[in-house]
Amino acid sequence: MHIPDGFLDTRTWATMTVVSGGALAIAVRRTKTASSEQRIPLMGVMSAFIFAAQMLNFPVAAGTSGHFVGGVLAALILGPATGLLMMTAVLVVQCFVFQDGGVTALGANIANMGIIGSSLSYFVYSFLRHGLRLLAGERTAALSAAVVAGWLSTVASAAACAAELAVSGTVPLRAALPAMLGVHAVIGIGEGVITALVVSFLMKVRPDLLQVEKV
Amino acid sequence: MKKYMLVFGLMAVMFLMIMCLPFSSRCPDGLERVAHDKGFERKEQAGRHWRSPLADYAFPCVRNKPVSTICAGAVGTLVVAGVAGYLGFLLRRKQG
Repeated sequence: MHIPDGFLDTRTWATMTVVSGGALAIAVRRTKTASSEQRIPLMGVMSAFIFAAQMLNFPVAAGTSGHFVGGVLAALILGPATGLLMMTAVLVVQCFVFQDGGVTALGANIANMGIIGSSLSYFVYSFLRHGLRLLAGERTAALSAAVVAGWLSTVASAAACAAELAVSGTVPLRAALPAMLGVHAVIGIGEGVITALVVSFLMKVRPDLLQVEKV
Repeated sequence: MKKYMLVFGLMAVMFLMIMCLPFSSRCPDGLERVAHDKGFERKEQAGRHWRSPLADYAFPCVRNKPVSTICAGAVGTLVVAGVAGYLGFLLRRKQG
């Protein structure tokens, strides 16, 4: 759901750039307080994983595909502020090196997949995991929370994207919103399942990576 | 984290990518599909403000498309790891 150049009007992309810039400033200030050295290589490897995974499109319906975004995964391992920085690193490289997502739309893409898809979705994940822990075991709670938060993050990003397109006058909201939500409700299942699979894999192989300081 | 984790992790990411890329769908993604169905895809102005060196994940001079995509993906994986890792390093350093 990388918005290309031309879909957003100047007022909308400028606003989204300011919003993302502000959120990034907060994220930078917060991550500066992190003390663990272990976070640096993990940020690099996880961002690289997210970039590579985003290149792999899975079919969702006739003639449509979707791909993993990874916002919830980034944040649940390294925290909501670091998750935003990681998604920003991925989106900046995709935009400037691969022409995936427009230069003017970069702020909007960071807002949709970073602020909403990673930082805010982290709080959904965290809330769900703590709630589910009262009903089920640690592992079940974490995996179910990952599935639901992954799905919600995709759907919420899609809704934000539809709203930005509508405000720009590109397409009316009543046309864009149902269409974007419909497709991404299916793509979101993939997002949730992949997030849970990676968490489950890490629980088995490197449980220590899930205990890293989250900022 | 031991130092080789970085190298090992990146190798694992590359391996996964190369194994999975042949199965990747080439269909339009969610937003592209909606843009097509709702008739606003012609508004796209890709490359108007900036010409990306590896646009559309194609590596220049490599004719074979799958190989070209894998080369572009490998470069991207390293660049992203570098950017994100350096960002982490910068933010860590200023505190210390």
